[in-house]
Amino acid sequence: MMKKFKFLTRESIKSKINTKAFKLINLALLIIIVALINLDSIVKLFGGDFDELINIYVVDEVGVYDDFKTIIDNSYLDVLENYNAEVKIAPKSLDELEKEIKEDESKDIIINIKEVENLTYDNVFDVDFISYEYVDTILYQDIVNAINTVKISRAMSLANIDESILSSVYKGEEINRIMLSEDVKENEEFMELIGSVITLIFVVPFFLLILLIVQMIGAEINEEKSSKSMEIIISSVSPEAHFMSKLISANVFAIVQGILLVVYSLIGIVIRVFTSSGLNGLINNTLGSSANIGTINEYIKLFLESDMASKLVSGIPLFIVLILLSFFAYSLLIGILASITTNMEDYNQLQTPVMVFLMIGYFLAIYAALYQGSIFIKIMSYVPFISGILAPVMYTLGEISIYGLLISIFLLIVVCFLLYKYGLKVYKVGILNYSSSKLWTKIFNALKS
Amino acid sequence: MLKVDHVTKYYDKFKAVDDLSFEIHEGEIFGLLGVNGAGKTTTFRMIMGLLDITKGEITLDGKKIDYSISDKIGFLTEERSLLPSKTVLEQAIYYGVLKGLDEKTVEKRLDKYLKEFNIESYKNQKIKELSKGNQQKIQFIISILHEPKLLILDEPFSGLDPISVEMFKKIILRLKENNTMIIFSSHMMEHIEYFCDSLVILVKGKSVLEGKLTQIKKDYRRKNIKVIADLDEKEVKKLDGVISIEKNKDEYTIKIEDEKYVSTIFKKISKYKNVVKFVVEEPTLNEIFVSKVGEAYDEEV
Repeated sequence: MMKKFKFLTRESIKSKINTKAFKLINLALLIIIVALINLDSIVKLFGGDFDELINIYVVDEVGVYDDFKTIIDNSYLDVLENYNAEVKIAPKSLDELEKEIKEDESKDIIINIKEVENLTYDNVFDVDFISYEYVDTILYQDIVNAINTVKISRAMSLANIDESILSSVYKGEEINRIMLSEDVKENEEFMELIGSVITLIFVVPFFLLILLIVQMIGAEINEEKSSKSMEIIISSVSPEAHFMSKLISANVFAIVQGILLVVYSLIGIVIRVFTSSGLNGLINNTLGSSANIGTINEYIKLFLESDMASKLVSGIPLFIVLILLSFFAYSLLIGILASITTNMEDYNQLQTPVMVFLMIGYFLAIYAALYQGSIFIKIMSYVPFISGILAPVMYTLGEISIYGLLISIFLLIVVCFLLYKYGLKVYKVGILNYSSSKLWTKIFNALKS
Repeated sequence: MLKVDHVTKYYDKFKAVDDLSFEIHEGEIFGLLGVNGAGKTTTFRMIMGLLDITKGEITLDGKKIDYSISDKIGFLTEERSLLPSKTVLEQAIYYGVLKGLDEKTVEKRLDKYLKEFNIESYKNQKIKELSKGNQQKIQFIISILHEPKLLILDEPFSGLDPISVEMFKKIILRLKENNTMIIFSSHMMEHIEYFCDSLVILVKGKSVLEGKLTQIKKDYRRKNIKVIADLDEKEVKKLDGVISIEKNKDEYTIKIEDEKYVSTIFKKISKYKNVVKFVVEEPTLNEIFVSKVGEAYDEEV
């Protein structure tokens, strides 16, 4: 019997992996994942309007260009670099520049700083901001801020305030941030952001792999039932062996696919590191525009020094156990459901509640980083079928302890045991049942037997 | 020997098989007949060990049927039980290994049968790409690859052309010669008559007729008289013991209630002109089946 069980398992794995579809899908996944990780490089490779240099021409009648340029360089250089913009003194007359921008429909900007007739402290110069179309709000706002700073500087100079005083006035106030909570960790505000990113990186593959398991077990059992092969198979191997072979093959497939996803991601990262974008670009993509609050290296440093990184590393063995148990629990449940259906349509209907359950876990895992301290999410992280996706996220975010993980694992083991014990009885009856009439009576009788 | 001993099967409160008993010996072909829903599939499933028996016992060579001896049984189901996405070779290996063979033996035997059926080119073709008839051939081949001691054939000729039917017949008879026990189920009574040594007819799970086919026919009192003569149909119909008279071209078939009426009818027929044929024949199995099943339903009503 063991020989037949091994054969069934091997055949089942082979029928999933040794197919053109699997190879094609994985080739597509490799391309997609590598492309996603290097998306900015790909976008830049093809070029476009975003790639165009924005010249910010300053027409200066007043003589404040140097001040303006200094302020820009000191305070707004990152923003200008993001927009690929450069401040320079106007090389041509205002009319010529306007004509050029209009004809080329260019993104260049003219800052025309003009003398005023009646100089007052609140009116030290007039400024025209000239562009072909609307300029991005952030860029516009930062240029306006720089101009305002120049204006204050000029007004104070008019008031004969000494340069050293002026410099002292401009010097930023050093603020000591004091938080009374003992639990507050250093740079926690950034941790929430990083936590959200890590949650997504973990949750999406888990969700996809469970989906794969659900679809594969259902399709395989239904194919064997609808083609009546089941009778021939079950006359040769016991329903237990058949059931376990389906579960093990689906789980092995999910694990192989999971490992391949990690490998594809590593390939993407390696390509990124060795291309011009470098590691900074990778993190920039991940964090989006919010990355302006600090440099990328700071983020990596913050993450590596934080509890989150050490928790993530220390939790990995238990995460793996929890994830594998979750895969198994879903396989058991879905195998039982597939056995009692008579065709793929019935199965699709029956699997919907399971998918909803999975979706709950998916969304709670995403919300976990946003609603830190939520008691509801904490309780849900112990619930089997949800814990596999939620508990590792909660542990990494510091919302549950290692004991919380162990409780989730224990509850999952109990559920797997009960599902196997009682589900097998249903499976034995279900796989040879081709009629939906009196189905629940048959299931009930099977459970009683 | 396969022994089905007072077997009863209930599905909840529904009695699917009722105190069924029969024996099949080596080299014997046994007919299991019945209308749809008579309990044939349930009986097959119990013999295959797929269903628990409510009462009674089924043994093969004295052993209760379980997974230790299930490899000795081959089953050709009425519906196609092949996996459409597999190739013929993959399918043969799949079922063959599950029946205890190694992959090399499966391929060797498959090649032999494919050649015999003249369909070697289908070896690496997917099941779903084959015609119904060819799928049936593959299903039949796979069911006998492991040289079963007991072979269950449920409507084996379904979807086959006459030439393939002849091929199947040849192989079935060869299996019989090789001492395979065969349970044969079909609604085509001429096939049952051709193959079966003994049979059982089921009505609502209960046996209404069982025994050796020759004895069943002998015991069945109704006979058919084939006559070619210039006779008066109305007069013959009025004779004692005549159930009906039918004309097909020049030949009349007179169905009579009992063999004892033959001499009276012969005397009457001999008086007509141009009598060239008067033959008393055993009834066909089809007639016996229809009659017995009909009686069983009438009794119930």
